[in-house]
Amino acid sequence: MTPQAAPLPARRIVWTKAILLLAWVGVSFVPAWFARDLDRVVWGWPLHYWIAAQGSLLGFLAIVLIDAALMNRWERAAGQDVDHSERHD
Amino acid sequence: MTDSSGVRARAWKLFLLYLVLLCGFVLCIAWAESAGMPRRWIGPIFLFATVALYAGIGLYTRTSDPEEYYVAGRRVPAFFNGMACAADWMSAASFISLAGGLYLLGFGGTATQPGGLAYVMGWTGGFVLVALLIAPHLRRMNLYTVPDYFMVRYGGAWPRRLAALSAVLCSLVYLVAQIYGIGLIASRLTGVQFEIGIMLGLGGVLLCSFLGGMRAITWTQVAQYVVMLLAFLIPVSWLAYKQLGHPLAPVAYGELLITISEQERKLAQSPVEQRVQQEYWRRAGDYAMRLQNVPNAMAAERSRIERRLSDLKARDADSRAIVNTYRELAALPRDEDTARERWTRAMHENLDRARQLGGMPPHLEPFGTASASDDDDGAASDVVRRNFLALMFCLMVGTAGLPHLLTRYYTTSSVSGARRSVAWTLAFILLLYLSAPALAAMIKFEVMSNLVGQTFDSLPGWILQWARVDPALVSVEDINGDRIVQFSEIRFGGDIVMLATPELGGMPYVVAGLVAAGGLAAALSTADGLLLTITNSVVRDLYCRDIDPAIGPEQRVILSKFMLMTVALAAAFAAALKPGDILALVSWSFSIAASAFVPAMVMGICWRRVDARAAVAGMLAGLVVTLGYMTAHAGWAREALGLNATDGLWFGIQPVSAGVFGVPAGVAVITLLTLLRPRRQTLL
Repeated sequence: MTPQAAPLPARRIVWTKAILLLAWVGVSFVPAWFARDLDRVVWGWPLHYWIAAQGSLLGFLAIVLIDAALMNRWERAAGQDVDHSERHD
Repeated sequence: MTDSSGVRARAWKLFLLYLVLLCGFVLCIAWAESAGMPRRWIGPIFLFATVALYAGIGLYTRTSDPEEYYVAGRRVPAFFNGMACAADWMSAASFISLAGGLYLLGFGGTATQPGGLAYVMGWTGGFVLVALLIAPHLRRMNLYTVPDYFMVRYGGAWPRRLAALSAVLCSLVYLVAQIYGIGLIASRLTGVQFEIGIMLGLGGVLLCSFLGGMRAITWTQVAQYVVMLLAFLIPVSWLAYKQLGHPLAPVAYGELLITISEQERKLAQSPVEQRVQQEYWRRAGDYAMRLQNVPNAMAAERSRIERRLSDLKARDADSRAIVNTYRELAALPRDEDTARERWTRAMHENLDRARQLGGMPPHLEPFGTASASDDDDGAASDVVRRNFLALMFCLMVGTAGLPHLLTRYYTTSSVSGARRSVAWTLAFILLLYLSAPALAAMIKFEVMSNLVGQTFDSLPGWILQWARVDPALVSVEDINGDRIVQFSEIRFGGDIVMLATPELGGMPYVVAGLVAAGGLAAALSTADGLLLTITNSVVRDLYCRDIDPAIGPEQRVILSKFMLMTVALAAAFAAALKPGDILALVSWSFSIAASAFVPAMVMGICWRRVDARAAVAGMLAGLVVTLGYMTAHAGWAREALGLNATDGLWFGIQPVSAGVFGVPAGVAVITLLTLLRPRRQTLL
């Protein structure tokens, strides 16, 4: 194992997760709850349908990608990213 | 690092070779079809070729090394693990029933049948929880199964035992739905009976999971994902190109949605449709009359048929007519209870179809607002919305708790690999999920613009073929007797829409074969993962730890294989009874997984003070609430208590979403027990 280069930013991790989880609720449950109010056509799409069928899904993907990028970068900086496949030589 | 990049390079080479071969194979069959190969060969060719392919991969990657058997050696590259997870995840429910569910339920479903886009959001949104809270953490602990987590985190026997039992329960319910799907497709592809179809498909499942454990399943699932992707995107793009002039369906179907709403409004006002609805109304009234005095109605029905029989005999009529009348006589309900049950069901069915659009909610309508005619409808619409959100919650949280998915993330080579792998999984799932609502819309448009208005004599042959597999799948009946198909006269089961797409869109038969092969791949890939999970839970987490800890590795493998066979046969037997539609079964399984695993797992990860006692109590509470709510509102229990379909429901929530009560119950119990215990004790 490499020696600890920098400690994991624990507080920042907790905040990041909290914000990302809020974003998760924000793209799924909130628009679903207000679907009746979003029932209008925007750029040729019924807005409430587009959000539920595509918008929120792309939002989920963005959240997962942001989480993976940030967490992996912090763990690499802290020297905690170990690839276990090396054992299998 | 050399080993890891070596694995990756080899995997990529094989993967690209496989892709080329698969496309070549499909093109070959397409060419053979246009050159005059009979259609009835195509189904069996696809069935046997794909099952042989999966079995071949299973055979090639077979293993008995425990590290390979349980976690594929923990060196699957994130990209391929993502692909395998996507195949593992997308089951017969996603591939076969999702588009059908969207077709039937529109945006949000009804109060008694929640669904629609809740499935699309629910089955993708859960990955946020998996990625943020669960998968990296579990991967860091270097575990083998999900019950392992409960053992390592909490210690003691009961957290592990409960986790293992819950894993068996939710996976088994899920497995039955998959095997039902396998039977459906295999019987359609080869024209054999449903039950034999189940056995055929089961052979395929057993061949690959029997031999190689996780390693074989991983690479089989990669192969199955590619088949699924091709089988979904080819017909969708074909239909999109035909209808919208653009092969990228998800970006182009906006206008189509608006056209559909206009068509629906026209249909609602069409006098012919209204005549069909009146006929359904009359039939429902007829059943209601019979139900008022069941014995009399039974006697009347019998004497009516007997009179017709003697009349036919007296006239020396066609023998076929006489035989048919005898059959009718034999099919009469034998006792009062059967008659009452059958007629009640028929009455509700007719009442359903007597509503606009054959009982389907308008495609775009959020929670039934536009039909708000009386004051009550605001409340009714709120019930639909609550059910929509509850179902979405259960599917999302269930995703984060289903053991067969979580164990897949043990196979990556690092924690960061597990995170990347979840992201790949979601990306691969979205490739299909973004197209499913587009497909539902295109099918609806195709039915409205082409099927409606045809004469009954020119009905395409595939409708009859599917009706032969199971009349509940598709029925087109001339209700108003004008020999013309009306929208309300067509009835699709949810499980048929995707499988019938190629035929509905007038594509060559090879596409139909490919779609069926894709559905089979979806069902087989999930069934493989589930079987492995159930077997590992029983053999590794229960038998080897509680009953016979001294068992040797070889005996353990033999026991695992014996167990695998038993579970597969039991599930096949249950599936042969046709216990309900695929979507409902799968949703139950998600509710169970959500309430059994997620509270104790997530709180164990986030809160160090939670101990074994609190975890056990929380899991039990979640399970009891969820299972209790489900059984209390199951059809038979309701009948025994004399309740209506909506009596005694909490907040009007349907039993499939019971997890929405189970999860908070679990969280509350764990929180309470942890806070009540003095802090000093934890430190000891």
